Amino acid sequence: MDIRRLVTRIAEALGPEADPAQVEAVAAATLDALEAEGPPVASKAPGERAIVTAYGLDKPGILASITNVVSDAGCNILDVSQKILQGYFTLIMLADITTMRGSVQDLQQHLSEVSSRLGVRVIVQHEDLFRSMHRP
Amino acid sequence: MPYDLREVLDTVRMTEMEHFDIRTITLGISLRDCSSRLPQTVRARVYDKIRRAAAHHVAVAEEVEALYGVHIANKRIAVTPIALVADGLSRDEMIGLAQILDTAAAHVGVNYVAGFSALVEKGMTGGDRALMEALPTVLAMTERVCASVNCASTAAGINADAVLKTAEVIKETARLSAARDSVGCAKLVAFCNAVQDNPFVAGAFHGTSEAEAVINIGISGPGVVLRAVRELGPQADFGSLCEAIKKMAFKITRAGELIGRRCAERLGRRTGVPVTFGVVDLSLAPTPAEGDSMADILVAMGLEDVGAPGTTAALAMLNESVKKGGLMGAGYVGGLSGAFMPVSEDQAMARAAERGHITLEKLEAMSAVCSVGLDMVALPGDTPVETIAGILFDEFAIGMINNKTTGARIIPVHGKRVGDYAEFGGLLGSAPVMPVSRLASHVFARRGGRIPAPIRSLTN
Repeated sequence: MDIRRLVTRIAEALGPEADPAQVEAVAAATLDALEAEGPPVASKAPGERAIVTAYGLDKPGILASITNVVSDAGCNILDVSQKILQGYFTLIMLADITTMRGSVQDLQQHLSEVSSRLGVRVIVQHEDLFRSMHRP
Repeated sequence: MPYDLREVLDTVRMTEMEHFDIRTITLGISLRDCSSRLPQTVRARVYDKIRRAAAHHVAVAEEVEALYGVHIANKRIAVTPIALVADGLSRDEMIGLAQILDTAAAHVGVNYVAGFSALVEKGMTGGDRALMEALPTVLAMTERVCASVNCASTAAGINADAVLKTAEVIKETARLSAARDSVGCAKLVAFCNAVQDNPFVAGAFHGTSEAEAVINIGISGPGVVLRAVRELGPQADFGSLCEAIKKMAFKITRAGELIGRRCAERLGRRTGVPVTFGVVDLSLAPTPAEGDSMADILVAMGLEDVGAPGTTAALAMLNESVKKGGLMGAGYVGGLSGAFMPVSEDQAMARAAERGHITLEKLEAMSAVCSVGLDMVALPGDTPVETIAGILFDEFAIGMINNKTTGARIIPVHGKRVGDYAEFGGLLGSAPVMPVSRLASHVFARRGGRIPAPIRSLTN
């Protein structure tokens, strides 16, 4: 996550035309600034998080559709992992739901519309379930 | 990502494909403050109390179900044994109270309310007798009321009068609900060493030493344990088998504990009355769905079918491993915490019964080491009352001597014979009518009195 934030900051600062020396200088300055800011908000105050899992036959637009629904609900997408194996698509998304509008039930309902349109199964589960089962 | 792909998919596979669910979330409600000498006052208080305490029970459970994506199969209520609450009422007044319980349960949206019960292991009061007299009518005419009778305990011995009376209740209930394959009997459990915090209906009740409102959880998950056993293959030794089952039991217990605690917190906030989280009941329980069977686990361990020599040992090992794995995963463990081996509710058990692979005697042996008892067993409708009493005596003797809970939920299906099938519907499933010994127990069953409590030393 830090690397992504770093790259985003550098890209914002330099634009597309940048030489390696400039990148290095901006990277050093940005790292200093990030350290002063402390760790990202999500890990400082973990808040409520949910894991969205989707699986099914691969087709274009699955990630985009799910991302749209999750963002539109007011969630902050923290991480995404996606794999395609023998034509089967698997997506796991970690989202901060602290600022989510509505309940997990509502989000699940919005996602089931995507689910039936694209023929994939989409499930939302609060992170506590995974923490309980895998992080005793 | 704080969880790797394997962990996330493991949980999703359990909830999506392997029928992992919470079998029951049961709200225990104390009705101790509902007593009165006036039947109409008891009825009003009971109705009021259930409506207030359980108004949000189903809604909260559904919210938590959605939050974690884990199905909660049953949302139910257990109450203080009614014979205690309504001691002094007549048989007909007891029937009236049962109707009120049925209505209140319907009103709050639960499919069963359990606790129309009497604890008579040592003796019976007037209220106990009235309740037992009312039972056949209550079980036949109400939809949601479940009953239990505790006829024996290790501390008190076996109340033979209560055993015979319970056998008569079973026969009469079967007759009164003949039109629906005697399904009334599926709502009645006869116990030895009944527990106070059992969340599993039909035998649940809210014990007298429990708090005002308590959430108890019954976990399930034969499907996930089956996968763990199958993945090891036929070469794995018993040590590896136990380890795999323990790991799986730990995970499902943790999920059960989390869900139970969340439900109790939310329900307490919603009703404004503290709701205690009680226990996780570590019992694997099947459903009639394919892949949700206990018998399949025993077969996967290497038996040709359930009932083969080795079945009792396999079940003992399974049950022990589930408990050992689960104990570390939950703050408080209680309830029955023993494997359920019902016949009608488990497709593979029903098939084994149909083929003659399991008999009543084998089921009895299995209940000696771990399972809770003879559960959902269909018997011929013409089985004499004394034979049913004899079966109960045997089951209770096992529980009394071994200091464990044993129960019997047997259904002498009115008008049906060995080889016929009884259909109970829904989660109760269907079962073949099993043969019963034709040898008579008439004199033994009618002796009456009590079988004294056992000694607790010289235990061979």
